[in-house]
Amino acid sequence: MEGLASLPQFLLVGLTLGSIYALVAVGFVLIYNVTGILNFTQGEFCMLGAMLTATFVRSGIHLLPASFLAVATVVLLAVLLERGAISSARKATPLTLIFVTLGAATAIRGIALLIFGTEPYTLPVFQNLRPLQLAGVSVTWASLSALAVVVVVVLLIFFLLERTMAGKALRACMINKLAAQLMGINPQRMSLLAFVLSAAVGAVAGIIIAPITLAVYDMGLMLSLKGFIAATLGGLASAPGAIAGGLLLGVLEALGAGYIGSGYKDVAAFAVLLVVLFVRPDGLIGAIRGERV
Amino acid sequence: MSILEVREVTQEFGGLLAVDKVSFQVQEGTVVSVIGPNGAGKTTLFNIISGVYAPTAGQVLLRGKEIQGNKPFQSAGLGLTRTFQNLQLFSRMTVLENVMAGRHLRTASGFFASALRLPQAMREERLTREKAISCLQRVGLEEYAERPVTSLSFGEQRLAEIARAMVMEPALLLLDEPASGLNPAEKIQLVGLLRQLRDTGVTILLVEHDMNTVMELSDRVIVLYLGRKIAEGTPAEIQQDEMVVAAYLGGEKIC
Repeated sequence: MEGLASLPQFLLVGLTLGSIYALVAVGFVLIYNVTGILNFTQGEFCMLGAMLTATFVRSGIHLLPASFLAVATVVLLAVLLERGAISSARKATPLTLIFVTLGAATAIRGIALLIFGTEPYTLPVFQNLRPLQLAGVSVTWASLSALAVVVVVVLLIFFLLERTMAGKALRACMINKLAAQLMGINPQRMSLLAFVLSAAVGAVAGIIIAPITLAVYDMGLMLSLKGFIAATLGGLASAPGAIAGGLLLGVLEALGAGYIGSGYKDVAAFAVLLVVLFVRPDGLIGAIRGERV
Repeated sequence: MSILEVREVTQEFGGLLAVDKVSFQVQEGTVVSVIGPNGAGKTTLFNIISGVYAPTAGQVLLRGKEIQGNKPFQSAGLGLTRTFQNLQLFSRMTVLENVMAGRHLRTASGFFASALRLPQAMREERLTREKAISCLQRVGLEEYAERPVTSLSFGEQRLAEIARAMVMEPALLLLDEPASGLNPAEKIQLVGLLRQLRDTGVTILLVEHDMNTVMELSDRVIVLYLGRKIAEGTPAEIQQDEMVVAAYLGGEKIC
């Protein structure tokens, strides 16, 4: 049994992990609110981001261009997925479309297995640097850089959504599709935009998790599920809610793993999902809503 | 010149004729009101014109171009927008953001350009902000600009929705019962506002129950009853029309 002394360490691990879940959750929320679909290829975007970057780095490309190349590839794939599978079937019910994304996720995982094999890939980042010791907490550079990247990405998303007209259009479409259309906002373009943004954010999440947990072809499923839980915690309605949900989930998992046993990490996550769905189906943050009927 | 022409438009809902071969024209720069008792098909007609429904039969022409069955965003691109009887605002946005969203078609930066040239996109956003604030001043809501739109009273939300439509600078504006839920002072303000709008060249088509507002504002009035157009004319003509008086007010005179 661990004492209270380890709490800061667990919190740090939790926040690192949680910040990655937060990015996946943002992808879920963007696509869900624009299209009504829960996109279960979200985790595969992360996996591809991680595997492609690791592969490019192996072949001698520097980390930064390798990352850009990987993100661009994942975005391109998302465009193909949205135009080819989602948009062309948009008359179908959301439930059908969710199954389309599950099918696409399985296909992507299968192809990844053929291309990358089953071995885990490493992404060597700051490996030679010793962890920092801050007030008894050991901070690895990988986790520090992950947090830094997440902060930058979250800020970028914030500025895009809040401080540009294109972001306003996307948010408008997320909140009220009919009114958005009457402002001339094309919902199909917004759907494509949501996929592109989610894919880019997902790929970045994958790249920053790779140095911490290794990259494997089948890492996407669990990331999808965790991102979904995080988004649900946040009420599935807004990007800030999703980010808060992700951080909370990461911390809960780390505490569960630290104090109960690492085997219980996922149990903690899914137990939280069940409790939230039973008690607060609108999400922990979704309660502050009131719409005129 | 007529900006809008509705030709023999019919809308059936499972055997019920909500709108039955309705035809009329709206001249550019005028205010036209559609009146009629509840269930006359006024809102259905609005839904058809604005592209919420595709009509069962008939045509809707905007400046001579067929738009029936268009998606609402396509019609918006041609300069047509509307407000709603029960309001359709962006609930998790501020009053100002709601109005700014109305500027979508008048701003250039695509999303990807925005991501790559964030400073430029943010400058465009600031300019839009100023434009939206001046619209809020015109409806008298500038003090509430930064408040969540849902914190406003019903009447204020209605004005916010009108401001959002105004900022689009539409050619044709459809207003679904803009005076309902407004207090007498707000109604007077609304009439003044709509007159101003018309004077800037916006054509207004209006569904309204408040007869004072209708008679004061309208150049022409169209009367629907059980899905059919039973009369059309100037407000004075409509007030004298016996069929209208009988159908609409059960024999009582209008006003």
